Amino acid sequence: MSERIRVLLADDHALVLEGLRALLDQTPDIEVVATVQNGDELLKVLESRQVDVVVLDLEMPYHGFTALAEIRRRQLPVRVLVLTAFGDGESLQTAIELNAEGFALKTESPRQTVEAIRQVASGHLVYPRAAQRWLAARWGRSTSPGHDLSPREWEVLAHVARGLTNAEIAAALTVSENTVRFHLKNIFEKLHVSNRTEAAAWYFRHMPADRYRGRRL
Amino acid sequence: MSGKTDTVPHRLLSLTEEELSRIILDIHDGPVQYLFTALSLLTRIQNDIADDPSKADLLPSLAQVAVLLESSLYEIKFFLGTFRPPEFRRRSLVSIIEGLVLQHEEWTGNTVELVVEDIPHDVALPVKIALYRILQEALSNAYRHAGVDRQWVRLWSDGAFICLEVVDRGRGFTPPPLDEATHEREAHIGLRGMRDRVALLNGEFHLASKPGEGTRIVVKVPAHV
Repeated sequence: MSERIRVLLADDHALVLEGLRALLDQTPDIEVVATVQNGDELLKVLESRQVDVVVLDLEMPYHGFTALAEIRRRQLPVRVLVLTAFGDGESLQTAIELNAEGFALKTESPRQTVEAIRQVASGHLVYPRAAQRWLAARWGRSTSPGHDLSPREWEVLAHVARGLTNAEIAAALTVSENTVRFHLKNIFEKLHVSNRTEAAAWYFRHMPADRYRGRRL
Repeated sequence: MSGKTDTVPHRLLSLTEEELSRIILDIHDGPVQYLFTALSLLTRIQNDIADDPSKADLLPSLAQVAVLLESSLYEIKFFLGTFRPPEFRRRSLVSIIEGLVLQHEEWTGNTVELVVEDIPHDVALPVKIALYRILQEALSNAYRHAGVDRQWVRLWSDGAFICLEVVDRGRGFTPPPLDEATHEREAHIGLRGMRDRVALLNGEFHLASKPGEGTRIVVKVPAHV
């Protein structure tokens, strides 16, 4: 059984939160763990709750893009789908510059938003077609495998390298085995490897100088 | 900005963009949020009754409502995107032009070959606004009238001037005499708007086009007005 995608909705329009939540609550593979109406609340919730995908309105007070920049600065292990009414070039630029994983529009069907949440949760970059060229230009020089591993993924990878099983890693990180499998799948994709042995070998070649990026295991 | 920038025509350029921003925000905060929410709730209802044979007769009407709501949002999307000013004060000229090219490519499926050469970072606000709106009009004209799916845009500096060139190899046209008030066709209004924006900045506007030979627009304006 696959695990549900834990989603946090961040939008200053209470109506939108209500409508989108009503739709997502009916979607079996998605769980809305919280809704917030400003960037400050968003960062507080992210400190205490495990969230897979933040659906973020960029126009939110204590601006959405300020919150997104802060999420990246703190390296919070969460993916961000920007949801905005503005499909203009500048909105796309902002999302790309702030490394959002996806960009969805309120001027398109909410069904597309739901699908974009799934795509972002599974590790894809979800952007309009024309933005791909700009994304490639931005990332083209730095897309060596592993450059985008999150701190959490580094932790999981370190345990894998030490030979721990999924159950042991789950216990060490106090998460479910499904979560560990989810992280592993993403790690394999990011490193372009197909199994634990290859991932461990990659780790020993690229182990960070501070061993676990300052995090205790 | 220098004191000279604060002349009435220059202030009008910024004021117009600020008024547009306010209108756009009203539409953003009102109708877009209502329509998106309505569509979310409607989608939920459609999903709820999809497997209930006793409600099957409702589905076509609900689908029709969904199409109407989606069409409204679709039209608003292009209105917002066309008129919403970018953050002229925060962004550089190059960034603003790149954003516009990205938007044009996304909306039209066309390809724009953009070349940017040595543009100073501190271009005056009215110049950024004018070049943005001129390029928007030029790309839009090329898309609607030239019948080709590729445009070339070059932006470079020449001493104290910024130059912008927009080229397509489409069907071209015979340039109208823009000074005569009798030519009020939509495309001509657009051309006159471009020329007037350049004139406000004491710049130069050149249009070269012939039937069958494409169109080339070159604009030269002072970087600091």
